[in-house]
Amino acid sequence: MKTLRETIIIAIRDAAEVRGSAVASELTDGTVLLQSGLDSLGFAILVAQLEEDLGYDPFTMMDEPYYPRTLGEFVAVYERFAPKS
Amino acid sequence: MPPLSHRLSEIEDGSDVWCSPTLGRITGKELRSVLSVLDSGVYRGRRVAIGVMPSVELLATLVLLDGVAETIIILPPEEEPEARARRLSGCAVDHLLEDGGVGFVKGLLALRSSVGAEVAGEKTVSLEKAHGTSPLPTAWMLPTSGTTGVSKLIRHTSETLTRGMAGRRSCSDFIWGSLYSFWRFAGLQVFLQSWTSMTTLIVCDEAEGFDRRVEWLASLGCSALSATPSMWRKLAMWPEFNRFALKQITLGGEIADQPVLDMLRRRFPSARITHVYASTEAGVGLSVKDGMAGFPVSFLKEPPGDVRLAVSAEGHLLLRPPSSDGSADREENEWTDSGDVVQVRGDRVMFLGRANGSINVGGDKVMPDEVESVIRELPEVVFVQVRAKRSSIVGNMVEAAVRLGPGAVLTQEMKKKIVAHCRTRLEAFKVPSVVVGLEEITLTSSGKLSRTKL
Repeated sequence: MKTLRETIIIAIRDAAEVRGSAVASELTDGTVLLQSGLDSLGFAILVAQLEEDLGYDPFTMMDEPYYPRTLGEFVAVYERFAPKS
Repeated sequence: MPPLSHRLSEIEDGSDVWCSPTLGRITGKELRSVLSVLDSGVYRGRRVAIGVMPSVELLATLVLLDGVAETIIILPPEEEPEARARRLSGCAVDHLLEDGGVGFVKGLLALRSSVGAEVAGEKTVSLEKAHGTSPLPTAWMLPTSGTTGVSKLIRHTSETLTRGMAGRRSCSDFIWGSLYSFWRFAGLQVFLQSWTSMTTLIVCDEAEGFDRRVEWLASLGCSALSATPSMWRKLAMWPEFNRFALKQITLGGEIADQPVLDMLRRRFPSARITHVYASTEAGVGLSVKDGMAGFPVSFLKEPPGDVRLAVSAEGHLLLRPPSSDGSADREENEWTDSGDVVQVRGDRVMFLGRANGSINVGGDKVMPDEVESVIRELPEVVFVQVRAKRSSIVGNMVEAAVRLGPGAVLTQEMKKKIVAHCRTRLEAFKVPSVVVGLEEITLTSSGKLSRTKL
């Protein structure tokens, strides 16, 4: 079973591929998403792909709009809104 | 232009005017006999609304009322009762005809029984009598497709509706068929084309469903068929499409792109393939017969018909139909904006899509039609629908829903191939963000591809 973090990293690479851009070979918590090879449309594709994989889109669930800057922040958002099982 | 019924005297007794799966062949003699005993005098100078009835009844009603009624109002058949009641009260209608219409089908069935033969002999109310000495210039109010909201009624006459139609000689041996509703501009065009060229028309009712109608058209020998590009693509997937022996292929209502034109050319090498640009509002703008998508840029200087064409600063196609008095030159402000976006590429003017049909991707506008035509260049793809997918990040993204040919599976590799192909041909923001399988192909009541997500 893949961890949430692994699922997100795979989705980032797929989204970058759809956009025809290359992602930095190593992604760390400190990697700035919009400098990792994803543009804003790539970011949108990533969120749509994750909604398909995980069943939720945290950005539609927030009361206050918040856009994570780094990979670490991004993973944290998905953790925070993950459905309680 | 003389009223439609004037053609009646020219139709030979034994020729098939209409051919219907339920009523069989309706000959010129039958049509004349039945119409001559129907009393159209009560409709003279009146405003007559036409609701839901069998298609044959509609056509007979139109023949009977053109030149007799002041106005024929064709009601959008799918309209909800409340909306229709509002429309009727706003139109000051004298007569509402539905179900049995003017009684043509009933009269035909009576004529075909022994009882009817006697009845027909007794009554002698003639069409000439109903017309009086001077036929009226009957107005036809036709519903728009209403894809952007409530359907509007647009004023026409049988003259504006038959403008630019081929004469009798060029298509005398055709058997016409239509996959359009006869309540719509495009369906009426097919009816009027067959009527003015005095050739047989196969009349099916929409309620029978697409597959059933296609089967009838094939088995009744349809050789001239008019449909939207989406309908043609759907037809091409139908296993018995090869049963058709088509001499005339007409495309309209949507953008005819090169792959659909090429597909039809391959399947029917000797057919004449025409794509027409028309709208309920403006009538027939132009027709193109060279088998190439778009139209020659020379049409902007020398229009092929009597509708003048231009491109606005925003890239919209502008139309200027001839004025009612026939003079070609009218004031500059009488150009009509078609709402269709075009682009001049070399010696061709290409259609990109509806100005208001664009998908807004983070502020950039994407024409679904343009993306669809690029995806259709891939031989594996038989049907594609490009639509907006809501995104919490950029508002909307471009989603491509595709149907592949028999045996092909929409794998991850295929999705990547589609995206990669788009990337070579389109600007980055137009490339689909998501590729999914298209489960069901939905066409609107006017035969256009529905872009509402299923």
